[in-house]
Amino acid sequence: MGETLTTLWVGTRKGLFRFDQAGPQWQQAGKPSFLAAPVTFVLDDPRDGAVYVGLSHGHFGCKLHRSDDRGATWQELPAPAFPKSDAPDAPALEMIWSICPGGTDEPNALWIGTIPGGLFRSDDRGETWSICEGLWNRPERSRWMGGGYDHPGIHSILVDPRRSAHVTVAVSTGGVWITHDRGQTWALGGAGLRSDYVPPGQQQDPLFQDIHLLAAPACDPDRMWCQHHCGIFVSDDGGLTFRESVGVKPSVFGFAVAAHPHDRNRAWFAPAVKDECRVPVDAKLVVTETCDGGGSFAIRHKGLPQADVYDLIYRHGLVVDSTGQNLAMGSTTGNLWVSADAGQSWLPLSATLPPIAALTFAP
Amino acid sequence: MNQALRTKGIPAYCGEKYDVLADCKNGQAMAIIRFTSHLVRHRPAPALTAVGETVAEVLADGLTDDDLLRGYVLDEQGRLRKHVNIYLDGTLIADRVRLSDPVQPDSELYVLQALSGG
Repeated sequence: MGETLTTLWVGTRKGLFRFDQAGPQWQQAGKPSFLAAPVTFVLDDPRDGAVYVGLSHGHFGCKLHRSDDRGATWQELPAPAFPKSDAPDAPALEMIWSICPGGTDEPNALWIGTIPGGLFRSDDRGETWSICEGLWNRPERSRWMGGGYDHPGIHSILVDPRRSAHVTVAVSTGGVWITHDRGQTWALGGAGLRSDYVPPGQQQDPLFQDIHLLAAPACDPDRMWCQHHCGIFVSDDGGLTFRESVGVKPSVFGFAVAAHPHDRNRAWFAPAVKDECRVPVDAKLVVTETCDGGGSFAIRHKGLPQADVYDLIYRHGLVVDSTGQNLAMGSTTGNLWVSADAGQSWLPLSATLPPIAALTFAP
Repeated sequence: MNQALRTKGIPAYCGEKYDVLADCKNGQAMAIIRFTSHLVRHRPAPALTAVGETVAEVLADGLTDDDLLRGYVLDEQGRLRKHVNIYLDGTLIADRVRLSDPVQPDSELYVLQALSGG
């Protein structure tokens, strides 16, 4: 092994694994952290190299940890907490679903999205957290619904690299929400999204949309890709409105989307049959790629298993690095693949990991 | 008297059975809080002595210096976590929400993971 080129963090049902790339070779680096603890999200902060991990202990609740030495040691931080209430159904943290760095002009700022649907902000590298009351207190929140979990949750947080006060979040289920004042006030975007799991007449209500993941290229944050419960959608105005990509083969259903960081027209998806049958179409694992802004899609399967495959790719299980050349994909079956040619071909990295929830490349 | 038990928050039990079930704080007997090794795997949780008339009061007193450890036992609303049990002198507590079960001065609270949730 030569000098480490990049690192891939793999958050699984049974701990956090680190893989390092040296030359063309990938190798697991050391023993897993938090062995046997379910990892729900991992962030490698491009601003200072800190690594943040969200855990969901089966018995002892959700926890947040930070490493300032690339995973050699970890410090537990306070997890976000919901406002105190005497109500019998008062909310309590159920999952840390997304961790997002603030802008480069706010180096200590972090955002966390949770189940139930809270958005939290820290201005001190996770030492303390405050719920974003501007969103939490929106009356429409009472109409958010659980999407796969008992309660709704925030899984996508996009901070505009041009202006850090501009933040877009996506809710499963509850639509796309946009703030331009760092969370004080919010507007509901998502016009053009379509749900076929609600009665006719309500299918285009922006509040009833189950976004599975929202992603934006660094080069053009107004371009947003949406892997939705009912299809693939594209926005050119920062999530205010979307158009649908139709006829995508083999399927428009899936959870994950990765946006090319430097090419606004390019993105990758990981399709499955449909909501009530969450396995690859024809038991063949493929990645779909668009290079023309969602007008057409190519199927990439080189190096991926093409028979008897039942892996599902979770929403944070398909990622691209900052070059746009390296991709990684991890499955519920514990398979991990990497691509060094922007998704044209894939190499298996491991077939024996625990179920994979979240991946992230070092920046 | 085990000197380690004399100050609240100081480890009173480090894996070996001890023969003192209560200490005194300003002349008041103190309850013991002991934690499952499953929790200790994630965060140091030595046995603690604490005062209070209810489970809530004893936990509040015993965990006052360790918010993170409290978060392993209780959620942010102060409720016992869904998959955590507390045995009070050998009996599961009845009130998991307000933790109002009365505690005797020499009571022992045992915090355990439930079989559910794992």
